[in-house]
Amino acid sequence: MKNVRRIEAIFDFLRIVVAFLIAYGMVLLALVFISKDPMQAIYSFVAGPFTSLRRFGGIIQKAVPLVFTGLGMCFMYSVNRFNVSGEGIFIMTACSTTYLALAMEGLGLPKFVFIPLLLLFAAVLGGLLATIPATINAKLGANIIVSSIMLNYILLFFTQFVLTRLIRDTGVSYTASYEIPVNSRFSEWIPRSGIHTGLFVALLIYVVVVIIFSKTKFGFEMRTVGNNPAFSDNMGIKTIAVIILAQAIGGACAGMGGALEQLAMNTRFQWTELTNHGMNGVVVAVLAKKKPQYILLTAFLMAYIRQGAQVVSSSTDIPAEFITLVQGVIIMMVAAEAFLAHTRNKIIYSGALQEQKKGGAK
Amino acid sequence: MSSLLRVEHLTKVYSNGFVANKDINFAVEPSEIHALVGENGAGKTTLMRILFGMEDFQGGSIYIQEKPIVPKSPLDAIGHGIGMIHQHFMLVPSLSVAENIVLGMEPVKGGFFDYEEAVRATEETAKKYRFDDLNVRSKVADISVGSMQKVEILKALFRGAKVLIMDEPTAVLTPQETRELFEQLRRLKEQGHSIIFISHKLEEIMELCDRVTILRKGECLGTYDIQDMTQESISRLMIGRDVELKFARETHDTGNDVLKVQNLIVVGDDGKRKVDNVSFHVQRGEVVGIAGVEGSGQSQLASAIAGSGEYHYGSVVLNDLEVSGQSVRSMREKGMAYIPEDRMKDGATVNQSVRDNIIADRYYDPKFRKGIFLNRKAIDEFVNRCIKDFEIACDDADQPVRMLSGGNIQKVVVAREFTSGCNFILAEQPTRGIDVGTTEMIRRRIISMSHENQVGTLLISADLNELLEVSDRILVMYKGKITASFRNMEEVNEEILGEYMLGVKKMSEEEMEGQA
Repeated sequence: MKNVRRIEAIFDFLRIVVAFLIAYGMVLLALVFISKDPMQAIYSFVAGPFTSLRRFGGIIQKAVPLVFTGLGMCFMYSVNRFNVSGEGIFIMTACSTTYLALAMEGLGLPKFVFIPLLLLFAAVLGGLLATIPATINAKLGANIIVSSIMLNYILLFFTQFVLTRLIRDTGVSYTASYEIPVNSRFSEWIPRSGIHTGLFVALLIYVVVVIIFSKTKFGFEMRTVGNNPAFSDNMGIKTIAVIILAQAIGGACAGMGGALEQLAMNTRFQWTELTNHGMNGVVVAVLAKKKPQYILLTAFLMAYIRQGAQVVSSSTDIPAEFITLVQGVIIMMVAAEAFLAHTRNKIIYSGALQEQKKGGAK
Repeated sequence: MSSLLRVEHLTKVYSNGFVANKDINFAVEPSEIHALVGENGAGKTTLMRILFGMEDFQGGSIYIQEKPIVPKSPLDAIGHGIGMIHQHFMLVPSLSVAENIVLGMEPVKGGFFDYEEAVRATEETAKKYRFDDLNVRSKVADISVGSMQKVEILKALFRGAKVLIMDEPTAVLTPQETRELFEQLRRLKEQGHSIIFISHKLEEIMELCDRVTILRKGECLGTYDIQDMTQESISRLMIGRDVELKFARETHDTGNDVLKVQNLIVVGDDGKRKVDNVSFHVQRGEVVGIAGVEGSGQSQLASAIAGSGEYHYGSVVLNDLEVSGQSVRSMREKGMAYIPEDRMKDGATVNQSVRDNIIADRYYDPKFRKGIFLNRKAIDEFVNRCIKDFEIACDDADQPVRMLSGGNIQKVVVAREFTSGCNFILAEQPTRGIDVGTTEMIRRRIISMSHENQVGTLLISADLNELLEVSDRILVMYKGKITASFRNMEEVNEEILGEYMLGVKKMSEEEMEGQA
């Protein structure tokens, strides 16, 4: 039956690829119908992201925050809790990191101390915030989807309070904070590409998370608790503690992502609505089959499509919003367990029967 | 003579690639009680589910009175005259017997359900098949397990079933109820019905059935007349080797109390006392069996001891420590091992690998760690040794447990619990629904653990045979109380236990003292 495991694994992978291809095909089809110059639109969408260094850099820029929120969602999924507070945490830590950076401007800390300090603060804050819906859910049984979405709005409005009342730069004509200190900003890694050194932080966190999942005691606990809480109770695992802690770490990932995005991409905090980074993190995690080792790949794919959409909207008559169509189709395809299941079962059946004929089967 | 039901070259492959039935051939004649035996995972249940339209199949054909059929759904199967009595009853407890019988084909008068007609029709059917003592107006929730089974049989007959499939019908019955069931089945046979009787209990098959079809690893080994067979020859065919289910009883030393339960009371959600003032103790080196009809408080007692349930009064002392307020981990570290009743939910995590399942209670042990990381090499070494020692049939330690057969899943559970260095084992239905080979191994291990390693065992089982074979002492629970205690295994048998289990007899305090 080793065979079966291989077939199952292949089909898991195939499902993602085929889903992507179908979604891609649908988008291309849509472009043909709605664009006056479909060839140009298709070219922009498919090859556009690779036509210049800056455009390629745009993929990386867009992938970095998705790596953080995607990894965060992997933690939520690992203990079977659909805690989507990553969305609110992302904007919250971006805002509060700005506040903290401004407050500590006078200390004149060197970059390599200041930035890690700010990221650490954001991680801790994100972790604490994620435990709010997690704890309410674990102790009181409240629906975690509802409470985490509610939390997102509370956090959004809180950031707006901070922005307009505490850190707003009245010297500029739009709503934005003061500029964050230069010694708190990530620098550009490759000149004129827009690729910043925050990429390395993302890679580091990615490696750490993959190791936590596959090699540590806590990874084992999360897996067991997520698969069968009754069993882990029986084994003496502190199920509720694991559930809450996993979500806290997930929140920490999202929190760090928010801070890093702020410190690397913007000089001022100026978000006035939710950024969708958290929700896109859900998509990235689902695409990755909730396994952190695939997050790098799926975050890149997502970022590539989004960058393609951006190129399309800047160089043709198609608005960038059509990207939501792509996302919808992909999620539907990947989330549909039965998609391709029939073909898979047929292959498994015939494989098993053949093996039996050879007389080697158990 | 034409067969009532015939199966030819039937093959079934599950979507995980498991070939559950390979080229099965067998036939059921009219007026026959046909036994179907095989170890767990031999494909009995799958075969029956196919016949009853609950599973599809990949090859072969099914004939009813020589007409080919393909049962698409249970409804379809009933239409072809195939009825099934499930191990777990499919009844609506809040409805009356008559309402359950007519459910789905209710008599109607003026647009409303005609209850009196339902009662009349049910009584008529009951009379025809001589289900004499069934009160068709009583609620199903209020009748005994034996009567519920009668309702199930009647339900199938009412729908015109000619062939009745019975999946381990005696597992939930007392010896007295079993005898009654057998008489009933013989009467049905006389009236021209046929019965496919699935059971693990070979002595019942010898007593009741006419012919037996034996399955092994999904293959059909053939159909034999019962007269030509013995229990030994059947089990040899089933397993492919000789099995010894009788163990030599030897005297041995027992030590201090490892478990002491005093005046324990557990109140259920409905406010009734599920465990009512129970006191007993288990010494090191002895196996104490608990007998009782299902729902007599055994499972509540087990969860009170295992620490997963709560109790309301009294004390449970394990290894000189009060259980209440202790974490499961600390109880396990002090020597408790637990084989829970529901192995798929509480005993194993089926989507995870064999490795994960075996190390689930000890992954944090420094032995299995290297700094902050898990020591994969040490873990694999240990797990592979378990797989070998306990003869777990799996590809490797990476295989998800859900791909294993029931018996092998239980072997994984047992491998974990029996290697934890325990001094007390709480075993709840450790061999229920498990093949003979694995059953033999588990029983043998329990005995050797207690005799050689001085482990105390509390064995809760519905299988009286198992209790009598394995226990040094047997307690009987009835309605939450302990009503009998037997120390001398020579003086008890299934009949005697049955009388106490049904509450017909009850020992006084003094009688129990004398035994304890």
